[in-house]
Amino acid sequence: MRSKSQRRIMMVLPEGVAITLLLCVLMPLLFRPALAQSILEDLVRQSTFIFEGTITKLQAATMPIVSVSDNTIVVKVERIYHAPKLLGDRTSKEVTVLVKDPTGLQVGEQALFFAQGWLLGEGVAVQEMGRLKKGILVNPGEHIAAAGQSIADQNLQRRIASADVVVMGKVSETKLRAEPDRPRPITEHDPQWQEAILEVEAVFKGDASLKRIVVLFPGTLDVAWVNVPKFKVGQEAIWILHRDPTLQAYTALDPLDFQPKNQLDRVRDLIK
Amino acid sequence: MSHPWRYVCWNLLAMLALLLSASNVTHAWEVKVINMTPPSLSGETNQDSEPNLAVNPANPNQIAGSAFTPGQGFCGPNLAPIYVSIDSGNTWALNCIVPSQTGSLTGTGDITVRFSATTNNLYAGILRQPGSLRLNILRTNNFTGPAAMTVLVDRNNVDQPYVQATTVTGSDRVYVGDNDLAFSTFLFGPGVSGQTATIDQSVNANAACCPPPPPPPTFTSIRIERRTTAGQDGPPIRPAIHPDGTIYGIFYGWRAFSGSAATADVVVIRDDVGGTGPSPFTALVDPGDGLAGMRVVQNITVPWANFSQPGFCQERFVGSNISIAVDPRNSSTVYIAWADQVGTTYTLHVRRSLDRGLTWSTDLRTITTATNPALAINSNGTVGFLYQQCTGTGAAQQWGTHLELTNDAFETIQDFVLANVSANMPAPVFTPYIGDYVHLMAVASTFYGIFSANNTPNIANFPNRVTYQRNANFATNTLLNLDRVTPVAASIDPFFVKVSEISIDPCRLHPWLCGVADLERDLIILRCPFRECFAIDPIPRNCLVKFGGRCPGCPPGPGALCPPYYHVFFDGLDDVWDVGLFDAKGNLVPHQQFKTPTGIVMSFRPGKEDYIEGQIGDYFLAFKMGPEGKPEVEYKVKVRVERSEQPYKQAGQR
Repeated sequence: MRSKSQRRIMMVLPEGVAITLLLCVLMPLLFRPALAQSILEDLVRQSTFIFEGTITKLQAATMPIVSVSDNTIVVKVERIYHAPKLLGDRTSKEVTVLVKDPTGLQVGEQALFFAQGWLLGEGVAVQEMGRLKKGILVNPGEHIAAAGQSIADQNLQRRIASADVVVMGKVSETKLRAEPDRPRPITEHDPQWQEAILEVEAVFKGDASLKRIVVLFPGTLDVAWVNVPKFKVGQEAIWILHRDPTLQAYTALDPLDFQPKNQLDRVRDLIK
Repeated sequence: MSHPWRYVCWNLLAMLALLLSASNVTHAWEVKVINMTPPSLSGETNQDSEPNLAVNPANPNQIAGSAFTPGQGFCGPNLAPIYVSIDSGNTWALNCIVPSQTGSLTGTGDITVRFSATTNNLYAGILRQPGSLRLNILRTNNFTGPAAMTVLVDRNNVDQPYVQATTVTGSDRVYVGDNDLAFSTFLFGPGVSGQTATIDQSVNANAACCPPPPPPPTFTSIRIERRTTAGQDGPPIRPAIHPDGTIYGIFYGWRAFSGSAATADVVVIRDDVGGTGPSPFTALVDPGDGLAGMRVVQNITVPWANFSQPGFCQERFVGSNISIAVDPRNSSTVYIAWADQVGTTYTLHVRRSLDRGLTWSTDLRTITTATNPALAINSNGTVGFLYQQCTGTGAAQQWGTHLELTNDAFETIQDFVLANVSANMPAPVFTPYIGDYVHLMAVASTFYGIFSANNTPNIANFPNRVTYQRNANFATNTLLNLDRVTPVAASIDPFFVKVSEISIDPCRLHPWLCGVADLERDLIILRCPFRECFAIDPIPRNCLVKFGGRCPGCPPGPGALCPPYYHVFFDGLDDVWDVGLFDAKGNLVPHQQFKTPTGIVMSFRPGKEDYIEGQIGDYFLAFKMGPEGKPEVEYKVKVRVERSEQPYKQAGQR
């Protein structure tokens, strides 16, 4: 049996394991801040909707499409720390939350919910990734924003680490790929490779003597390539380039591979 | 045992009912068109194109839809949404359950969805992002639940997966038509066959859900092309399933490819045992060359221009327009549609075979400058043909979405214009603009479809009316954001369409022949204006009948349905009245009648041929007042229906 005080500081982790504040929040904050930061970053990484709210109903839902169970509760949103813009301001509105563990939850209880989207219809339903009692996390907005920035940096750092070349430059020319393509099937999803010629201003990773480099990018508008950056003459940016062994060329296929110049300091820091 | 006079009498009544049924042209339809974007997404402006639809045959209230709809920052990392409805498509929500790429602007690449027949499992075939040709075959047993769909198949170099599914004795059979480009000589040179038209098939796709033991689902890739190709086949491969185990498929067999057009055969393949035999999909042999796969037409020209075409309402030509549908009443009857270039005009064609694909009609229907053909046949044999036609020129171009229904192989057509919208607004963000396919299907007598189109809220754009969930002002033809004030730009949205047959009581059309059979709850009120009249009352239609396992007396085997017995009790119905049971065509339905202390009971077992995936067909009760009856007197009969696995057992058969 948990003590009353222990129940009040219960935290639900992504794995669905409830552990106490002493183990997961206070102790780490006091003695192992890196671990606490890691836990918070895990929650933020998985979450698309982070908010404080008050439980208004147990075993209930705001949408008829939700199958009500012990794990579905209704929460009135009181403060939003992170949410998709498209949802508008959900403050003061009720949402359905699918909690991992409803044990001990009570109407009127306030908490900080880390959640990701589940159902979006007439109302909103989310599934909980984790939960903290309101007030446990001091200045949650700052912590969450810091965790978000850290996650973004880690993502960019991974792209940089796996890159062969990182340069700043300007697109001087684009054209259909000059050399014959590698064999490829006929499909509506054909990338229709094009070449962007980059005039290199600075090299941050790779051959420092590079003055010009050719980057392949999909010329197609097809749905399969819609997430991939496309380049135009005159663009100035930072390119994080990967050598594709099949294409035998450099590519920048991840949206993170194309950074605006105002991210120069950040990119430099992440390369170190 | 019936007396001879009763037999004669009922046959006369049956003939009359048939005449009434035939003469009143009872094919009236209720058309619903619903914009699927939910209210919470009122601010969205995505290009939600290339839609697909799945209606759960075991519960048609449950419907799933798909399109190039992104998670929009709402879905969790690496997840994309599908559209879900639990009220027969009247309202919709997004459910984030499709594995995807964080931040994808389109949710997934190609995606199609289908429910199994009876197990409530939803399957999807997708091209997973990141990647361009990464096939995933997915499954969920709870399509409104939060869990991501389970990945059953994950491999590369596959295009345009189109999923169909059914259930046979509790096991889900899934057939995914796809273009397996791992066999394209354009990709891997002469060491591969170039025969890329493929059906990925599983006969235990729900295996892992049914322990013990829980073997994993097994998918087998079956090459359905038997001829030499240009190096590969065209992108679309479409299967169609009949409950008797017949599986058809259709594809473009590419014989040459110029870069701007393919020279192709339209090939239909068939399997008679659900693809479970030693040589699957070889049952239909073309007598012209002795190879499996009937070439319905040969050497047609299919244009290939993989970019938005200003002259074709912003859509592209990528040879993806084929469809096939099999008559649920008779697997020998099959319809196909395809597109090719006739002269300089992109043209849809529809043809029919009545002999399991061996011989084919000439064109029953041609539609010019149109795309996205989709065929379906309902339980009454009505054929539905959904397509989208580009009309007008320049800035006046319009996409018209049509659903044509026919009961006589397109000799006569009911054409429902579902939408007629601008094709120039918005500008394409990517291709396809409205999609390389749409979908139409039938459950029992109801057609369900989906298409994508410009979403400007203008009632003139929707001749059969439309319902929007998202905020919209039809007076100002403006979409509105969540605040119901801020205008939102027009974009491409998916639209759900449901077309239900309205059965018209012939007595409403021929009241001089009929008495009155008012139906209140549990009560039939009979009243005749004169003797010898009769009154017709439709038994509540489309009762959903679920079959849990085999019923006594039902033959085992694929597609065998086990209809229960229905016992209809008429309390208060005395000898003044005779009661008969007729099907929708006016045929007398075999049944038994027994006297009870308070009236009679009619017991019958619907024929298996009247069943489509567990749906009971239309039946009519006809009451004939005998000479002892009193005109203009109300006779009140309490009625109730019981279903049973056993015939009614009681002495006193009438």
